[in-house]
Amino acid sequence: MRYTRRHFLQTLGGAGVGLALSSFGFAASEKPEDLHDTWPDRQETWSISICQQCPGGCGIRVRQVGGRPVKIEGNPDHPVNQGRLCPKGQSALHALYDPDRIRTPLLRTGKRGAGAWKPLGWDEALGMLRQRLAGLQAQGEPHRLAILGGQYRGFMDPLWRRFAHAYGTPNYIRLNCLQTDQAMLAHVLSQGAQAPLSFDLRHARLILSFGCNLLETWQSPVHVARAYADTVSAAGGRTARLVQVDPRFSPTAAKADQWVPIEPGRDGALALGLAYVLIRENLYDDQFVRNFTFGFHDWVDDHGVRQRGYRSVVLDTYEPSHVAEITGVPVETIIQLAREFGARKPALAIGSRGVSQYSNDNLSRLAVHSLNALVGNIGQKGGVLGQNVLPFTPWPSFELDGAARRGVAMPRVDGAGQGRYLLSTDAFQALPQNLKADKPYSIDTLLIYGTNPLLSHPSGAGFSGVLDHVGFVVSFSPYYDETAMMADLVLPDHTPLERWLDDPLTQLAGFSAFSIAPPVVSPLFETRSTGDVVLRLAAMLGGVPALALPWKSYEDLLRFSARGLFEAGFGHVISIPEREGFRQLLRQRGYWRRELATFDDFWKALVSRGAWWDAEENYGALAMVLHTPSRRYEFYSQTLRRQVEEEARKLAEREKGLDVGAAVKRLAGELHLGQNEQLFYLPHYEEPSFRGEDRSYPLHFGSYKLMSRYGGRTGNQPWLQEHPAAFIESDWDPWVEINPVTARRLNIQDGEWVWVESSKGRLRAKARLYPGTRPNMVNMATGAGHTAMGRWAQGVGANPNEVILPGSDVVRGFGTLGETRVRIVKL
Amino acid sequence: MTRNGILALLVFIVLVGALLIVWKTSAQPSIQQPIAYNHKRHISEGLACKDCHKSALTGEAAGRPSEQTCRDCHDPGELEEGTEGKNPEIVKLLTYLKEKAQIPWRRIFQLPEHVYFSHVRHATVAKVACETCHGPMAEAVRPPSAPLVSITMDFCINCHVQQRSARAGAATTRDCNACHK
Amino acid sequence: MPRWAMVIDIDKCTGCQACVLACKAENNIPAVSREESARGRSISWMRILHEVEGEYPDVRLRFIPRPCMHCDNPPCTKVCPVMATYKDRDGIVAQIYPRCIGCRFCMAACPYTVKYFNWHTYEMPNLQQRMHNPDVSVRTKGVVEKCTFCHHRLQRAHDEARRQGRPLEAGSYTTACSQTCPTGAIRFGDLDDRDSEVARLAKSPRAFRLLAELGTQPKVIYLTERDRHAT
Repeated sequence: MRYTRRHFLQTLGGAGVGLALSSFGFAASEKPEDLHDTWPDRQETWSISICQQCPGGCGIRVRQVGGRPVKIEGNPDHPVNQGRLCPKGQSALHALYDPDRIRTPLLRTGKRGAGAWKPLGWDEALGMLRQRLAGLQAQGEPHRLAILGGQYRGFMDPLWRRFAHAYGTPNYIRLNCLQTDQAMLAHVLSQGAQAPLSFDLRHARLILSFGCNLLETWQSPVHVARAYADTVSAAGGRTARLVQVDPRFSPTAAKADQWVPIEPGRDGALALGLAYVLIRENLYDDQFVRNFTFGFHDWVDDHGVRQRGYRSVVLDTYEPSHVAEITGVPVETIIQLAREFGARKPALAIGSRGVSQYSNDNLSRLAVHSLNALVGNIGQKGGVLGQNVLPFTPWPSFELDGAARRGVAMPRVDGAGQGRYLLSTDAFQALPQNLKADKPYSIDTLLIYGTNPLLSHPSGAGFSGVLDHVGFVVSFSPYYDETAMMADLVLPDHTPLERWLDDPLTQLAGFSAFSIAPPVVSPLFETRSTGDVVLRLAAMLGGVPALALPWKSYEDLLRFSARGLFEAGFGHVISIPEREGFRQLLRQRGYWRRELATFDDFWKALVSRGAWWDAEENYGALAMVLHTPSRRYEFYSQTLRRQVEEEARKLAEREKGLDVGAAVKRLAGELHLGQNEQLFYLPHYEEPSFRGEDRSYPLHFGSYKLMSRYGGRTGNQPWLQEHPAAFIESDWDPWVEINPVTARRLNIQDGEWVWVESSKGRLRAKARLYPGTRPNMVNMATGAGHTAMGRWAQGVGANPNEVILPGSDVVRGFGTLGETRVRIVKL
Repeated sequence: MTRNGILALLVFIVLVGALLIVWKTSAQPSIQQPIAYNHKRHISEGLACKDCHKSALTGEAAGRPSEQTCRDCHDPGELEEGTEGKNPEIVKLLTYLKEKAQIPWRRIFQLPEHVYFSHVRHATVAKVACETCHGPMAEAVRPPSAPLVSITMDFCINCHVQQRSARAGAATTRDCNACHK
Repeated sequence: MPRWAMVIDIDKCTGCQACVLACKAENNIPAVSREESARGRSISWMRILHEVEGEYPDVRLRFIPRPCMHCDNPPCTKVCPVMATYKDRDGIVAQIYPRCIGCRFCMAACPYTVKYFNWHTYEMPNLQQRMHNPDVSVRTKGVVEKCTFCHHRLQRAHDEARRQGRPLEAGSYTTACSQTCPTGAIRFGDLDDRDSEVARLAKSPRAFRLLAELGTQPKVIYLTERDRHAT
């Protein structure tokens, strides 16, 4: 399929002939379309849509001339980005116009991965899949279907989930590096959060970010950038402070008001060091702690056992000089940060991607989040807020049949929800070895939607190896990406501008919103929206799936669900700023007025303006954010304790000679909760587990996401490939950031090609001497090093996953990316 | 192969090459329209240019008349009554309309890709008559196969110079950037 | 006559490159190949220059978005032998591609290195050609190109105003980079309009012009960053 013009010319026998021919316009493989031959329509139109270049959920407007999309701008009325866009958004038309797109359904004809395909019609392709799925059902083994989903938001998730459930498989497994549509585990354990909490960045006066690349890749970077800019006063002074804790001097660290360099994996210790000062100096919110938290002071539990509270653990263990030793952050800085955090209200602590790189992920996040509770910044303006659950019309209920009921009761093939992955909803990490061992059973059919683990996961290579153990692999990718290349059947999805899109907004400011967009252009090729395909498949299967998913199309599904928004009695379809201003005025006086009289009018407005939103911020609604057993913020997580003890009991029942106490200990070890029973359920610090011994592999390997790339999915977009980053000399070639002092010691020059080696493997990259690199570390950007995906991606850059040894990740089941140690070797 | 044979082959190659060059560089071949549209007839029915070229006075481009514009007067339902005695060109039109197909009109007045020409500036602001650039299109009973006026940069500049001297101080520009994009 | 100008607040610039990409999409700028890119031939009318200073952990990083400065006294126009580059009536330094003979004198003369040469005709695949903005010409091999302040948007804004029979309104014309900038670091407007934001910002004590000592009188004005790491 990769028959580029150059190949064409080469086969013709040399560039000379090619040149001569091309000057006559005969290099026919890519003759420009002659727009003058016809009389093109120059009519300019604009359509709304939602940017899908990352899960930020920015609203966009697409400029079309004569029906052809030619430019994308931000939608000025959209609450997330208010008319602005990031570089990925500006490049998004390349996703539509990628010449190497998959153009029809494909059936593999050669060896897996060889790239030999036969085009199929949709009826034939869907018939083939239906037959396979119906066969599994007939054998009473529907659980041997697994669905692998990636990082996306909106109704595609519940659609797949329901399809899997109705069909009778527990194996809908999502591969999430960032879980943007689920509540963070730390929030679940401490607050009982059921939906993602949001951070009121706009109103916080101090944002303490633990490795969260707020201005680059966190949620909608555009929204964060707007919030950041809002706090710059006209005189250039800032009304809020941003403090970035990060081993690497990232662009976010550079734009922060203070950068706190730290040893990798030590964020939790620093947070607890701050807690020490806050408590010792009495800077915490005593009233909030007394009235709304649990486990701060020592207490005696129901069994009469004395339990240690957060306060005494912190005061005993996290004295600043000790924390300074662990973290490399000077004592004065710890004290200064804590005093500022206590004094500047509202102060907000955020820990997300940065801390998720290490096996102490969850403990670090609990420690970071406990700072918010200490200063009482939960459910407050400028704090951590709950979001209204969007009032969609609930989907009709349905009953499983016997086979499906047996199927969904089977253990999951990734083992999520038990043992080591007790706390994870998905555990892709465990999938390769389970598939290989056919454990707990073999998988017959694997559907892969919206993810490309072969590139984006450190065990991608291993995963590709075990696909032999899967009978039939189906990909829904619109591009020939690495994973699609391994499929047996490809049912290509539309690219975003060709299909219905929806996005419920999460984790931004306190408002809730739902974005929606109809297709902007008719499909360029014989592709189909996967939403429609799933519904069609359900209908073809008949039975429970057809009953559970009664809609004819994804559009129908959205229309059905959105009725609830119309009937909710609050919220509005977004509108021009003037009208929004007036609405706000009315709202402050307690009025709400229906704008559109009928659902049809509402729907029309919704799909032409692009979103519905409820601007109400949920300040002071503590009930909304605290759903724990104690109805308080739990420093001591009773939820975690209950889950661990339940699982331990099951474990003890299964295994002879293992008592519950020992089982708890073993489980706690697997869950990275440490050895000390008194600390299991409290935020505390455990060492990260780095891989590769010091002597052979002296450098920590850090990987990070660039603003210009979201995973590997933008690899086929040449502008972004050309300008990956602005903070360093960069172009298409991969680079590894090295501290100049370290480089001097290794005798490495700037721009020199080097090997980055770990005990797993090695990759080639250009050395970039960057003083923002910690001397004991090197850093690389993720999302490059494609071995497929078309002319602009294949063979460009290097994939850090080649060297990363993923540590066990019990939170996301994804793997910890920051615990590999490497060495740099001259070529 | 004989010496003559090689020579003949070489001559042949040169000839073909020359032909290709001529073909590549020769002026636009004559343009045939899908329907022999009669401008004069429509104008005599009382229509003005802007009635079909809808943005001629308001937009950058005058605009290709949409099929809907034709439909405003021509009803494809007439085809039901049979085509006998009907103007065959109208039958073609009605067939396009009936099949909801786009009429593959071809463009004859073309400007180079680097030129910005705004109809609203010329036709509305400067009140330049359509004929100035398009020639006696209103008199045409069948579509011309080439532009009736040859529009070159000289043609534009001459007009701009004359306008400028005729209306001293008027806004007629000779700024390159006004027309180059 | 308005004097179109840009004010760029270095303090607000996060180096995200949204402006760079917006410019490419708006102005049909090709991605040159990986090989050409490695030879320093990539074309980027708007480019983010960066400065890194210091040693870990005392590091500073500064981003300086750099479009054409549209100098009131441009050095590039003076060396053009064919009048292909000149200052137009709106004060925009124009580049007339069909006139350009590709001598690259202007590239050498520009102290801000904003001009780019088309070493090749950068052909895009058919499918990608569909995203060409018809308001902007596609440059051919052998001509020099640079930022036009999205002059085509001005042409269209003028036409729109004419169509409605009103004068050009402030705010009806802005560049693609300024429109997309997430932090609003890039402002665009008429320097001669005293009420305009750019006129006000240009008087800020933080305002400065790049290489002002050369006498080029740039119409891109920068606002310095404040010292953010002083605690």
